[in-house]
Amino acid sequence: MKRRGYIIILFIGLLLMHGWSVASAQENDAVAPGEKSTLNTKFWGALVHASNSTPKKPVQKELALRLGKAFKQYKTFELLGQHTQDKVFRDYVNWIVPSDELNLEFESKGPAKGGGMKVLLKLWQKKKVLVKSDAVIKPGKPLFIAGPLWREGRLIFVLELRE
Amino acid sequence: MNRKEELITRWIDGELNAETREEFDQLMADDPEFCSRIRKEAEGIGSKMRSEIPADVQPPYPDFFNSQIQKRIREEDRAGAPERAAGGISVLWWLRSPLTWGTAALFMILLLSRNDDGISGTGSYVVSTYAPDPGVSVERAEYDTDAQATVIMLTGLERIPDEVEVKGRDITAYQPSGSRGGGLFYAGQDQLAYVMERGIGGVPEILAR
Repeated sequence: MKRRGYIIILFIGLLLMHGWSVASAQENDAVAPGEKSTLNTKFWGALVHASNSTPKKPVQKELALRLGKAFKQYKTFELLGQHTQDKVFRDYVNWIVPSDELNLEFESKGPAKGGGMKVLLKLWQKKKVLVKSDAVIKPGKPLFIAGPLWREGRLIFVLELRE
Repeated sequence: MNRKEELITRWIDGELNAETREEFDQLMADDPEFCSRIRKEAEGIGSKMRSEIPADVQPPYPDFFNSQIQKRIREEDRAGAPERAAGGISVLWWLRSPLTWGTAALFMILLLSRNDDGISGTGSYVVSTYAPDPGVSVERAEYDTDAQATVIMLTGLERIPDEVEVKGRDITAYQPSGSRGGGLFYAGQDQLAYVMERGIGGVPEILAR
């Protein structure tokens, strides 16, 4: 039984080593600060109000379908603001649809191994950081961040990489 | 050799058993003068040895000493061999165990699934999330295959009052200014929409719109 325990620990150790090596590979994927992304892409971001009432300005149909699958309790998605940014430099701070209430800050950390861009995200509600996140965004695979409740629905940030 | 000498010899050689130890102790208690003389002689012998043999002198026959240690280790190894042989059989039995192969299979599945959904896969993914406010927690941070999107779901957020008007603009360009993360936001052809600065603690502040 003791030997079995050792082998299970060995397997777990190998698994952790694998995870560590992947993380190291990503970290070592260096691009000089300020250098433009090697991918010829642009970011598109939006602030969306998810609810079950008729929207004044609905989001694009394909995005609405995706949002509906991710947030099943809401049927309609209204576009409150959007932002297209075609020059995203590494380590510069960018903002998606600024407002007095809610702000999404992101920094590009360069291309990710296997495709996409590494980004560092911070969601602010007034003076408070709600969440910090490291993520990899790939073209056509958006990131949805569900924010606070507002009126009869919820505010959602969308961040997408467009080629 | 009388009984006294025999007891002393045994004491020096460290061969006193419980019975002779008791006899030796009784001898020392009955004849303190004899005890004192013996102690002085023993101390004299020790001093003489220390003065005659320098501390940095190698012990005689070190190879023999080492060979004896190695011989002792080999003997102990031989004594433990049957136990290890039994252990070898145990390893074979263990390799036949379904639990072993189940663990190995799980390991491989995890390894392969990470490749499919993560680094070399087609989906976006979250590397890490952190909610600094203890009242806020990350309920979900994962790639939703159905929605083909990465979803970060937070709970414990403060609700925005209904009377607050949350609205944005259609921003077509952003120009960073300064090193603190502020910048200029444009809507349409060179139309300045917002000027943003960062206040104390990096808090974003819209200065003009």
